[in-house]
Amino acid sequence: MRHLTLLLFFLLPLFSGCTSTRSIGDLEDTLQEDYKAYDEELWVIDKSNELHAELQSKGLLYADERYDKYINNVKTSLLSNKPLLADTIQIYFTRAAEVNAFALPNGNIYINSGLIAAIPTNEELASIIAHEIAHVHKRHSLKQVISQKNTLIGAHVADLMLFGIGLPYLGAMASITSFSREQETQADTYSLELIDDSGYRVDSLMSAFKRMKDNPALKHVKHSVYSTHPSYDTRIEALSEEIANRKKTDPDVIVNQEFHNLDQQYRAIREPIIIDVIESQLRERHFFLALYLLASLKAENPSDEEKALISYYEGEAYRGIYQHPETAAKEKTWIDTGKTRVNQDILRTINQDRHIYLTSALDSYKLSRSSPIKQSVKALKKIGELFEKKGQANDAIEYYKSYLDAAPEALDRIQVQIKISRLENH
Amino acid sequence: MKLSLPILLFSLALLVGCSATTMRSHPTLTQELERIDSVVIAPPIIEVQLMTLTGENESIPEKEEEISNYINEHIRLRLVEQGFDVVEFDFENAKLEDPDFAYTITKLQEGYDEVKEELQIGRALSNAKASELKSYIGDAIHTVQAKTSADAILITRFSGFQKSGGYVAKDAGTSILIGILSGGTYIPIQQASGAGFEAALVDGYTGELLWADSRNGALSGALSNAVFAKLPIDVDPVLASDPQAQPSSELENVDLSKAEASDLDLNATAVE
Repeated sequence: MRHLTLLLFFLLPLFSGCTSTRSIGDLEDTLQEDYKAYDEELWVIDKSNELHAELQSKGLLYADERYDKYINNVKTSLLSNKPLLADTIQIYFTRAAEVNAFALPNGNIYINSGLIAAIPTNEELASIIAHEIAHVHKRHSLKQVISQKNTLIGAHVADLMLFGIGLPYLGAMASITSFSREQETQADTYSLELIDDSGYRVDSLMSAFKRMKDNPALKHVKHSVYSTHPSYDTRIEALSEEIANRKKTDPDVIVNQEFHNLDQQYRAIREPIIIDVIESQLRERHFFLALYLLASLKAENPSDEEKALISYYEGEAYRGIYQHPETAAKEKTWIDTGKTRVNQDILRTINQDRHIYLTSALDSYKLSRSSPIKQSVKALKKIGELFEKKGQANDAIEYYKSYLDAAPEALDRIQVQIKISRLENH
Repeated sequence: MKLSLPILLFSLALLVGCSATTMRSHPTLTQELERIDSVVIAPPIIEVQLMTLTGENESIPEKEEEISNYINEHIRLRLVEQGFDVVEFDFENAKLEDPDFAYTITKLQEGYDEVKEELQIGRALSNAKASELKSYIGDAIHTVQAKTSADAILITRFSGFQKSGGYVAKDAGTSILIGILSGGTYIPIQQASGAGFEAALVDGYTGELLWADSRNGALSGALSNAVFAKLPIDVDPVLASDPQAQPSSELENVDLSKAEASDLDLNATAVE
């Protein structure tokens, strides 16, 4: 009896948690007069503001007037007839190589640089922004929090009754993610309205999904009962049906001058962002993803300077594969098979081809010297490092010295001086 | 006799294998340290989460601040005691003034994370292997070095969790249920908090990782003592040149759950 009293004492806080939870049916379905009227909504907005402050303190938000101008123009193109949404929505570009975008309940929408690099047209990017606006408009985060809270508390009670074996959490997880997939489909459908009303091609979101489906970074994102998003195939099919059923279906809408200007603006801001993405991929040792992105840029008719830039970063990627064959094999395994354990055949092939990667890196760095871009100076140091790896000390010293001559104020000059001194002492 | 020789060799191999450490050090650590007179402490990365039953996990700012102050204050003292100049640099202000510098700090931390995986920081390795690892942490280090003028940069990370009252009640409820059903013969105990701490010293000029260590324990600033008791600043040249001769009792996780603020003695020996 004493045990049972004690048990009830511990259970009480759990059940009291259940009674205080709001239901989704209490809310207006979209942003209306009751926006910010609920504790849960104030809580999620508070958390969103905290996350925004964190992104800012880590320097992950781009601060550039050209980007702000483009963002405002896209926002106006989508929301000119929706004042409440226009007041609530703020769009930011974030420094993150992952191909992704997300919306927070305070109305902030974040577009990763990785997504910008993957999407070459303004129209497709605008359609993805429309999808994120739909999440805010439909108050999806708030509904998710309420649903998750109810589901998790139920799972905790069930888990307690099953002596903490954890099984009820699998059911809870499936329920939460299923709710999330439903929201993604809703957002896809609502974004079609925004896209269509704004005069963009109604099938631009579908084009963006088709592009992402083929992107190696997203190819192996698992779609299962525990996935938060439906598969791209499912989404493309659903959108295709939705477009076919729409009265105002006009995929060949005439692109007006305003959109033409937006296209030009987008092309101009994209280049520095792409360089950021490639550097980030190289830092994270995603060499093959960087090569994939560079190959897609080659197909976009680059100028001579852009070609030199591409060559420099190809050199970086090849050098990375040469220097880190196991990490490269792990990445290649994941791209080819979706598995996280290194495929030994892939590792063997990379090891066998290491000298080819080394030569390719040297050739690419040398090609990058054809244009007077700042990376072409950096290439001198990189060539020196590769000669050092090859055991050709004199060649390495020569290139290091050329680098110091070409960049006497470089921040890494002491590092290069130490390298020269180590080589000369040996 | 034919059988006993392989067994003897196998036993010897096992004994050698037992000599393991969670520390990582540069192959020519002593030589590299000769160039290091000053150190700047990069902003500690601190994440302390309150786990709640509703899944709305929250950070605990007061706990994070307490840990941050502890790390800054005690590590600074420890470095000064060992004869280093600790460079005073206002990172927060510099980040506010220059978003690009804020991103540089993020890149520095990302670079460390990549190296961490490559060097298996946090896992036990043989002393010999752990002392021959060399890795470059990335270009961001040169910007930090130029801005702070420090010879080396110390990167630290503390991550921990604490369970809410409801969570502890649920764990206790589960334990009691099992206790009742097992007639009191088995009552599982579940941890109410836990933490991990890691630190890495990076050469500001070459960008090479000089030394790193990582431990798990209780949610307390004292955990950092466990790591910093082994800072390489008082490295013994004999040990550095003969990695096999280093002490071998680094493998186990540290349980400092009984350590309170009053126990936060810099020379704490709870590690060993």
